[in-house]
Amino acid sequence: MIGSDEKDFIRGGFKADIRSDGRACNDSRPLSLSLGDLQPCSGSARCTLGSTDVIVGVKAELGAPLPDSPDCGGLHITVECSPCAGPTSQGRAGEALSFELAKCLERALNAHPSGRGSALDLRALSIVSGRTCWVLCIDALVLACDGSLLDALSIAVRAALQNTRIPLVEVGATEDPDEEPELELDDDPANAKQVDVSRVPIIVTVCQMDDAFVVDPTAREEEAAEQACHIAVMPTGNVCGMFRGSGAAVTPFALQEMMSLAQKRGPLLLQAVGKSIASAAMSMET
Amino acid sequence: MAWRENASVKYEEHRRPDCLFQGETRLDGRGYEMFRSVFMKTGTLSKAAGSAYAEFGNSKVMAGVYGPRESDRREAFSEDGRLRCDVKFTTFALHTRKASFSQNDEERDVSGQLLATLEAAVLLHTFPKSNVDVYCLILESGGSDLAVCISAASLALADAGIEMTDLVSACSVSRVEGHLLLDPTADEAYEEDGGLLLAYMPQASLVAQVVMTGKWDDEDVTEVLQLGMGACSQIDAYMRQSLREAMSADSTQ
Repeated sequence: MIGSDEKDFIRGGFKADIRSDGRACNDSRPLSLSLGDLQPCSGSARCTLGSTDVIVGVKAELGAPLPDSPDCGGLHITVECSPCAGPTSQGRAGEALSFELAKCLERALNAHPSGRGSALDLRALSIVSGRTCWVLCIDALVLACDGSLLDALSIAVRAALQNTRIPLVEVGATEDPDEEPELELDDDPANAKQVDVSRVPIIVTVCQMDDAFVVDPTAREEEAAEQACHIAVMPTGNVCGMFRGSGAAVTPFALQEMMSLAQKRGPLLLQAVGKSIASAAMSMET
Repeated sequence: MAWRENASVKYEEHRRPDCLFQGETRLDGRGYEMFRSVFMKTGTLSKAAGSAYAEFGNSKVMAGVYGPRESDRREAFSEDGRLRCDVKFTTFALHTRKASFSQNDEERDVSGQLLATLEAAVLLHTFPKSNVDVYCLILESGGSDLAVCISAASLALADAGIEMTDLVSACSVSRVEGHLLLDPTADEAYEEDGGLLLAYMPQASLVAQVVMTGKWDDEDVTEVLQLGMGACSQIDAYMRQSLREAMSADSTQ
């Protein structure tokens, strides 16, 4: 909770294009990524964006596909907000926030039951049609919350998926098609499959205050701004998701403005993410 | 499961249609940019401060608004009023029976989105320190449920005399095989590769909620938003009509 005077101060900063931490409206905070921190997971990534800190673990498990989509693998996304992350993530409000964040990530990946229009190719996760498939469990933990949570989460999810190695499975031949085929797991990491993340989007949060648009807002700025919009952008710059955050209603014009701003920011941010991943991979090797 | 085999009525699974189009029309005979038959009525619950019933084809929703009133649980102090939304599916709303009465994930999701939408429209400072509760019951789920809930809830809020920026009307659009289908049925929404939910206040020209999924090209985004806003204006007209009807019915009594 911030008072009205502080709100006015922050809003004044938006208008003057200089924010309380010295950034211009278009600047984002320093981003750092580390990969493979969680040993028990098939892939993991930790992302810090300013003082927002999230960690994502991906586990690949063997499961059964849904009866509606026998040729698709599964995807589970959960988000947990640590109660020490900030005042918004405590108690019942924290549960609601976690649920909302998970739903937003799910929508951005658009893992539709029919498998159509998905950012992740769920078909590649199928092992035996209608019987066995890989289920990717994406579990995110918010360690510290200082605004732009969805941005940090989506970057970490993308990086963790890129870091994920799925073991190769060999399906034994069976004579009877009704019989359960034998599965053989190849635990050689050199043979493991990677997940195709070329279509996985990142989410850009844009705040609006009158005619100023602000990217990568801190928690205080999010509270002071009139409204926020979360826009999922693909590496190509295409919009693949849009969710209005909390706050007042928004004009269609502002919506378009926010979208085009996000479309410019998204690919830039992805480049920064790519560099971070490359340097993280380098440091892991040495 | 034993009871299924013993049941006198054979359990039938819902079969999804193989093709959603018949020539240039949809399976129910609609054009791509047409609503299902719409029916809306206010003042359907006598105990509630305001209420509404909305029916879009097979999607049937009852909405009741209670308050402004004291909160029934302890909550942090808030200068503004507080809005609470609860959406429930009946156990028979879907093809598969809902297993338990407790809130499931879908209900939680729909409730949260309804709340976010209405909070953008309701003037919360007009009922300081008190609560307004909005309850929606989805009697039958036939697709575009959230959109129907939003329209019904805002109609019920208007019926209760809660001040809002404007009536909120909502619609869903699904993109199936490159066609933009307005007000999709559940089967159509299942086949979508991109979707939009838009809650719009046409008189104030403000967007109260937008949820977009799937990959969209720049021109398509503009096109689908235009389609959504136009469609919401149609719903807005229906809503105003039903409010006027309720008013004239009251005055003749």
